[in-house]
Amino acid sequence: MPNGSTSAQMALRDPDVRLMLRVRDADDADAFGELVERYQHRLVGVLHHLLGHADEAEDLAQEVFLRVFRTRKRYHPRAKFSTWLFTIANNLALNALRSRQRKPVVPLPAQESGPLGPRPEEQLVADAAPPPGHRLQQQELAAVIRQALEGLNERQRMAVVLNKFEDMNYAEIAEVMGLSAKAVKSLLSRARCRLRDTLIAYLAIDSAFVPRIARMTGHDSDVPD
Amino acid sequence: MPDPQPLTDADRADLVAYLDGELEPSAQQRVEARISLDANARAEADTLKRTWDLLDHLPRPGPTADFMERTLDRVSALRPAKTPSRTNTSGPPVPWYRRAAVSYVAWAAAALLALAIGYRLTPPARPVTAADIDPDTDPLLAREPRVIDNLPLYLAAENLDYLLALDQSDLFADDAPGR
Repeated sequence: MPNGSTSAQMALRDPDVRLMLRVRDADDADAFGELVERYQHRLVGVLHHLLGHADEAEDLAQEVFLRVFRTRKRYHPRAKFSTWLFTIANNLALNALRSRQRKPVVPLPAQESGPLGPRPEEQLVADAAPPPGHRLQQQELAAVIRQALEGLNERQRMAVVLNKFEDMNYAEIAEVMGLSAKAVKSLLSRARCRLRDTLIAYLAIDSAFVPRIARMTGHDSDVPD
Repeated sequence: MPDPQPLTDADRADLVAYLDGELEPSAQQRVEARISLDANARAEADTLKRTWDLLDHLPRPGPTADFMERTLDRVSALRPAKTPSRTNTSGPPVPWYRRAAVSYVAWAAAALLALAIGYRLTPPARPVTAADIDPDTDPLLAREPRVIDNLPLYLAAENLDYLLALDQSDLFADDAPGR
């Protein structure tokens, strides 16, 4: 584990940290705009996976950027900028999810709207796909996977999304979520086992699957198709 | 080959960490050995890997086209307002003492100008003499220039009878032979 000064030096090598320092020290609007441009897709994507609603994800992503700007004067680079950004996102997302639990919304039918319905980008992909059977299969598969993701608790979902879609290692996830790396290991293990239990019937659909374990170990997979 | 052992939660956590490349080299070798020898462990790792790969079928949602513009608009509303006079100057900033000196000079010049205008507009304060009387406009005063010349004395006495009495007395007769 690097000490404070070492981690600060490492952080200063991050070009996004240097942009953020320009925002902190000079209220540099161009630097802030560059940060928004660089992170908007990643942030909205992660929040969309967490919250399940496009509008809610955008609103929260905007709130994250506003929070970054409001707290700019208190920014001290100790880690990568993305770690700090996703720490803020994690806190806001958990608050939003807990607030949603306190004020439950009446769900619309899955095919009409909401997190289980097809999203515009899914519809575009589906429309472009030639075989109707394949299209239906892809839509159904995406809906089932999303439902399985939403079956995880908040922390498990956050850890999975950061690990899978942000390629964060356990140490980075631990820093974002305020946990130990050991706790993240346990969290991810339980999450992945739960996902496996939910999605076991759909594993055969993933035709692109290549049994890497068998290749790595020199054994054929023992899982029946 | 030994009988496969049931996997514990710790074994599964190690399997997941192994798939994520998060294990120390020694633990990694231990897990690889277990996978090689234990069909249960191999099947578990296999399904966990395939489940993880299934998540690739989820679409990657992105922001709407105007997200960045809307966000930066809201951020700009949070910025402190800047003073246009300071931001529009192209040269170096003027020191405060120089700005103060310019201000004092401007006030002094304005005061002098006001005094000059006032002096020009105010009638002269010297007493009116007989030479100032125009006989065309005021013939009565022109005939009695002494009234005008002695007007300050008359005003100081405030009593014409008293002055006439003084003129009749002998007290100043020797001093005023011309009267």
